[in-house]
Parts: sequence; C-alpha cells; structure tokens
Amino acid sequence: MQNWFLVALILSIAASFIQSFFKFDLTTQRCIYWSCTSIATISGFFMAYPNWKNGIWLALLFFGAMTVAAYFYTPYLKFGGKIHALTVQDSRADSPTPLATDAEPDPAADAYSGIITARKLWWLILPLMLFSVGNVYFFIVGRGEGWVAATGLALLVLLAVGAGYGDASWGYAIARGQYLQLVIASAVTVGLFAVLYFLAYSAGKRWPSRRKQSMEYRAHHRHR
Amino acid sequence: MVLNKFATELEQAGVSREGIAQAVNEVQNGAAPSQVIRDAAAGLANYAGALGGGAQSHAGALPTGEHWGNAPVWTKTDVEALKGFGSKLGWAGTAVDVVLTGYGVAHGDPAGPAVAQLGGRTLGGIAGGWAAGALWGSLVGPEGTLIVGLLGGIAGGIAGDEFVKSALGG
Repeated sequence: MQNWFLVALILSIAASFIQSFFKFDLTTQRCIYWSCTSIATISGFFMAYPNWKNGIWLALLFFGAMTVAAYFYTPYLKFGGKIHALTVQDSRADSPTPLATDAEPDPAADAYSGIITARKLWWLILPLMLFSVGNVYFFIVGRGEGWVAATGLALLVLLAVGAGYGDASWGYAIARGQYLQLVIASAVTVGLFAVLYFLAYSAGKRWPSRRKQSMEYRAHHRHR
Repeated sequence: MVLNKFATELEQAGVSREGIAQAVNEVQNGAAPSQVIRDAAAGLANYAGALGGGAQSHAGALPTGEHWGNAPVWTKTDVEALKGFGSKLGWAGTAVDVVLTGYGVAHGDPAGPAVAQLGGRTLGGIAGGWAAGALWGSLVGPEGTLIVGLLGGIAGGIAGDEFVKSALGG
C-alpha cells in the first residue's frame, strides 16, 4: 500500500518538473504545479502508514519543499496578485515584457548581476554567515570538523570581499543600502564580516574594476 | 546549408536572432560551430551536478569570453534561455534530495533530524550558490563564474548540513 503512495509521490513531483519544459500559459502551469504539490503532500502523509506522526512530518516536508522550489526556481508562487520569487526575471514573469529591454527603465536598478535584488541577496548572505560561524564554533568546542569550519570561513571571506569590492567598484552605497543585513552579518561573525567588507570597499573605491564583460555592466544600462 | 541548419538549431534552442547572427558570424569568420557551442555551453556541461543555485545564477553570466570582444553580444532572451537551464538543474537536485530524504523517513529514519538536516543543506546550497555566483558575475563576468557558483553552492550546502547536524548534537 505504502509503495503505491511512493509511486504517486514520485510521479507528481516528476510531473510538476517536466511540465515546466513545455511552453504554455503560465496560469495553467501554475495550476498544474500546485495540483501536483497537493498530490505529493497527501501521498507523503500516507507513505508512512500506519505511523501517523511520521506521516505528518512527510506531508509537511513535501509541501514545504515544493513551496521552496517554487520560490527559488519558478514564477509559480503567486498570491495577493503578486509573484513571489527570488529572481527579478521570475518575479516579472507575468508582465508582458518580463525581460526588460534596454529602452525601458531598469526594473531592478540595484540587482546583483541583474538577477537578484540587493535586499534579497543580502538576506541570503545571513544564513550562510550563521552556518559558517556556527561550524567554526562547533570545531572549537570539539563537536565539529576542521575542514567544515575552514570551508565556512572561506565562504565568509569570499562573500564579504566580493560584495565590498564590487559595491564600491560600481559606485554603490555601502551594502547597496542594505544596512540592517550588514549589521546582523557583522554581529553574527563577531565583526569579521564588517572588517573584510570595509577593507574591500576601500580597495574598490581606490582601484575599481568595471569590466564590460561583467553582468553588472550588461544588466544595468546606466553603466554604459 | 550547414550554417542554415546550425541557425535553425540555435533558434529551436531558444536563442534570439541577434545571438544567432553573432554565432553564424563567428562561424563564417573561421570558428567551427561545435567550438562556438562548446564555448557558450562550457560551464553548463561541466557542472551539471551543481547544487542548483550556482548553476542558475551563472546562466545570467554565461555567454561571452574575451574572444567575443567587448560588446555584450548575447541578448537578455539568450540569458533567459540559459538561466532556465540552470534553474532546472537546481530544481531537479532539490527534488531528488527531498524524495530520498522522505523515503528514508518512511522507512524508519528519525523524522526530525532528517528533515532538519535536509533544510540546512537546501538553504545553504541555494543561498551559497546564488550569493557567490551573483557577486562574482557582477564583478568579473563569465570567466570563472560557473566554478565560483558551484563552489559556493557546495560550500553552503555542506555548511548548512553540518551546522544542523552539530547543533542537534551529532
């Protein structure tokens, strides 16, 4: 019995994915996606039968995962007349010209690479800083591994330096105006993020890099 | 003749007219069509297993290298076609991870820790790939962006997974 629900689960998730390869009306695609989500959620609930507690876990897991995937990878998460999606392009998918042409005003003037707005990108950085610092802490107290801590630190350095140098090079304000996230990231990392960010920002002011091949240059026509 | 077929294939793949004209021009000036395709798709093929976010953010940064000249030759439609590809990769990866985790829980894995760890690595992988990729692409452009996004996704995924494991006392 449970196996049939597993089959239904896999089929519904596969269908929700495969339908996205076909070009048809976005409203219909959205409808199919969320129908598949309902089937996956119900299948998940019955998959663990007769363990109802695990059934609830599984139902929540599949519903949550489909919602997360919808937000990060698709324009399907829509309520209140608005698409909720990570990328600028998906957020504008309902507009007649989702890919703004150079003649139009820039739809997301502060977007990194023209794909993720400054506000969203800076919120994405926060969980990474928490994970990185947490892993360093766990390593120090003997509950984690060294290579994991080192990986997290490398990510922290890359993000802080990349953001600082890039923001200054293209003439943006500090953290492209996302001060709250900058303060939280700095507090979480005991100041390390701020130190690296500001050093890189100063370097970017002094020796800016404004490559014509970069996505920043392509995405925002005011740079040209 | 061959060029017409090449152009048709590009069109079917969703490449815009400007992109096609550019590619055909490259070929007429001596590049082998396979080379043009390889250059454009180099990163995509290399990191097919990417944790998704990396792939997706890079599609935006994909097309040109120095040899394409300084002008941005690929239009936004092309970017969208390539971005869609990366997006699908990440989506598929997440889906497989979720189904396998769910299968484990249905067959006796402790639900709480399994779901929490899945959440950690999914969030970390997506955030790491997107953040590293978008920052690098914003600054540098196509060169190296694919690799950086892939590494960002992997590093973020590991960080999230291990953080939750350690926090739960594993």
